[in-house]
Amino acid sequence: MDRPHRKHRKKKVSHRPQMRWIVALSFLLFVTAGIYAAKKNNIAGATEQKRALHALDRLTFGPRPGDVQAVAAMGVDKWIQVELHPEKIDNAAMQARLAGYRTLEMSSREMLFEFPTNPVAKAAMDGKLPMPRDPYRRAIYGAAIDRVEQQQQQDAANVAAQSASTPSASAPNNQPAMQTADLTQRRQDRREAHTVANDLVLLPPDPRMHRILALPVAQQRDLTQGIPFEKRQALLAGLSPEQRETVLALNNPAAVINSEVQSAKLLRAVYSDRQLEEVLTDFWFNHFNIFIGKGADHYLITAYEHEIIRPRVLGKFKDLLVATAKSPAMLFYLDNWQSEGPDSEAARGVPAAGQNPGMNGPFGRRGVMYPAGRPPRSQQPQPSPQNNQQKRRSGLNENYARELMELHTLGVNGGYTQQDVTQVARVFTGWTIDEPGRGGGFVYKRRLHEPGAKTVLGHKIKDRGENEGMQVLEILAHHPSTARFVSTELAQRFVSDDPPQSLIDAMSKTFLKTDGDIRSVLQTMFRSPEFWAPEAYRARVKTPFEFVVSSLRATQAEISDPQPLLAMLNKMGMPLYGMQPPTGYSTKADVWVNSAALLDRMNFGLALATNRLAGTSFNLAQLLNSTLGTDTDPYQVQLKLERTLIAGDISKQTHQTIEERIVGPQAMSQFADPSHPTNVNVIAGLLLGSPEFQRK
Amino acid sequence: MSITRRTFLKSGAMAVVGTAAIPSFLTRAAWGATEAGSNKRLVVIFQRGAADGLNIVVPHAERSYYAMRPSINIPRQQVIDLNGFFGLHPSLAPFKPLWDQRQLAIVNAAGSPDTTRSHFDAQDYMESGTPGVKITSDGWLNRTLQSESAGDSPFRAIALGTSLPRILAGKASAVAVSNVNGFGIAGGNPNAATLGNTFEVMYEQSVDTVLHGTGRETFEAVKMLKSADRNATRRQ
Repeated sequence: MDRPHRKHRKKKVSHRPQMRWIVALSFLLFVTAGIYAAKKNNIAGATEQKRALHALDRLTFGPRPGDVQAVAAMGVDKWIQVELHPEKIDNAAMQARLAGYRTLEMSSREMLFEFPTNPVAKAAMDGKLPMPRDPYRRAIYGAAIDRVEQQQQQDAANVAAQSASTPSASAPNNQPAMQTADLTQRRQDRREAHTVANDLVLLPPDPRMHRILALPVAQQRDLTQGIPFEKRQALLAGLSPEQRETVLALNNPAAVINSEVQSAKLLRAVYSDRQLEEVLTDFWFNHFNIFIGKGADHYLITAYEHEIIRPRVLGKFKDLLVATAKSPAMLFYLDNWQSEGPDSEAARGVPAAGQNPGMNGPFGRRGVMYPAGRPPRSQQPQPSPQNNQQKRRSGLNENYARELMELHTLGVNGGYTQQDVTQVARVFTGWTIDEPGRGGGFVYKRRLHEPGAKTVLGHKIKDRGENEGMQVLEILAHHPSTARFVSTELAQRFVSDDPPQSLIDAMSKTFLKTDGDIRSVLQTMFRSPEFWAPEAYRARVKTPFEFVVSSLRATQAEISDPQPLLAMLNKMGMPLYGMQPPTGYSTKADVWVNSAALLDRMNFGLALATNRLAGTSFNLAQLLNSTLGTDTDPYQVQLKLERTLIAGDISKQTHQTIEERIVGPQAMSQFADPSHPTNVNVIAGLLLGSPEFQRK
Repeated sequence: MSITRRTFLKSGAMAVVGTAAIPSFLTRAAWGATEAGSNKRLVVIFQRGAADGLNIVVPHAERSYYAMRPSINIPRQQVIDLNGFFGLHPSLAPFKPLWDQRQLAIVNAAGSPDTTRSHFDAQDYMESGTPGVKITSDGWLNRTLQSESAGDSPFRAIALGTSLPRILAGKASAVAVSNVNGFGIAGGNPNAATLGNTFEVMYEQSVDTVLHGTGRETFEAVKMLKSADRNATRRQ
């Protein structure tokens, strides 16, 4: 592919002897300018098609058939400008695809009450919250309360078993026997529920729903538990989104929210027409990572991505930083919501003036949904004196302060000390969540705030309450280390695992000059010679998410149910929103290239291409815009697929291996049913699993 | 599946790394890894999140321990005393007999000399084995395997899971196996063998240095596991 470049070099040598002639000299100048441009913009020096492919690889989740030609026709630079202004791109088709996912439009508070957590269900059980009247929600609450009761019985039984036996090393032996009995019962219940499901699928949607709502609660709970995919599909077929969510929530309310937000991420990546916005949303979410598996974050994550991250992905870095700092999702994830200044009013026991001290939040055991903020003493579980002491004083929590500097702004070698971490932690005391158990937002609570002046990175921070935090974010957002750290991460995502220093310098310079304007920093990168250098072409190995999504885009696959794809990503080690540590997922090759991963990718490619992936369909004839029959020439299919799936840029080795082993006349006859037209589908699978397709 | 250790070990030491249950045949193979001579085994347990050393091996005779941990200490009467000063957490009672038989030693309060503020860096250093040096690209367990008399079995180092942990990364071949039974190409496809061969040749001939090497290791491992399985079936 670097052939054009080589040709230019040869010309340069051969034209040199003619320098005497002015006419020739002017011609040489023209050629030299061409060489310079080719050197500087090497991929650009090649063809507009190749530039288009490179740009699509980086600014999108992978080209769809026809994208390369369309972008080349529009002009790559012009297309990049379009992608940099996503608000002007029509995305109605995408919105239509997401219409069935009701939680995407809900606030955290709505979600919490529609799909109750255990504390919310318990509050309803204890009569501290009215039971909902609407039959769907009523059923969901009924099942959730049943779950809470079962758990309480289990806890009580465990306590009894423990106190019955002497506290010796053999004590835990009682538990397995109990659990076995319990498991047998559970399994039997589940079998019964699945038998019921067999009858239910025969009914039309509305009567089916009616019957489900009339089932005993144990069967409602088990209806979709561990059920095979096809039966689950049949059970949900024809139901309205609300009915579908209800049936699933009977089993597990949190799973409805999780599955919808994960499905939406996958579908947006595959189908959104605002691809750069999608890539950047993924990037910035990962930069300011939170974990779906951490308690309340499962119902905070939807709003976190939609309201905090997405609207700011091309704006000022500082806005993104402030928005995440104040988001309940981040405050909860990195524990700042419960950080308490050692000399704060709360710590000194100054009585609150009608203010909930905030410590007895909804995520813990106490003070959960009590209307007056706190239950009377008698209603609280009686903690042992030791526990009591632990619970009451949560103390200063440094987690947010540390990750704020290490991962969000300066980088670990960005020039801060442990002293700075402690000082920043003090600055952010009081930044907490309002009524956290009710899905509330950011609130500053003076009672938790550490009084006095602080010093951060040599700056004096005056005693100004909430504004201290704003001042520190301001300092961090404009720090040269932040410019460098953020530029490096962007370059790693968009250029290569180990991006050139010159590129990072140029981007950092833009960052500092433009008040951290992300769009400008990206412009600098997209216009840089390093972005278009031959070393950057296919320099990155795709992450599992990038691999799966790019396969679906390249094959124009139609996803009717993303669930099996989400399960596949779990298996590949990249569950969506599932990275527990605040580092987020690495995009580097060495993290993702290993035996298990390669086999998973090859198998995924084959499964997708031969339509063995539940919930996703692939139509080869449609992709190739031709009919496939017994007279189809497999070699022509191979050539077409190489053009369609990897833009024709395939190695000789891969091409020949497939030709010799699969499409050759003898090779094709080894297939179990050689005349079956879908045999050619495996060619697509082999290409998706090829070394070329693993890169971008 | 009855697979002998010889299937997996042509020579040399073997490393198995995993967070989940380790299949018994691999454990057996690891147990038999050193053919003759010493029967020493090294079991490394790395608690990635954290471990509170002072509550595992408790300095129960140290007054400041109780003074500085008023709420989370292990009460003296619950500590299983070892030497009058240190003692074990009560749930570690089964270790006491080993201590009494002089089969257990504790290297207490040992840690990384690097005082990084980052949990992730600290964890990384423990696996690379080079505290403070970020550019180390391999893990110490992989380097250990390199220094052993070289065996060329693809199963010398196995990570059970979807990714290869840092501690096993490096030149010595190491495979990640997420599921022993599904470790192969196109399980359900009637043409699995052809498809597997095609992928194998594709990766074997690839000039992509990163993918070529891993591809080779992968297919060697797949073939070995398959032949081991065949042998086992034949014997039955």
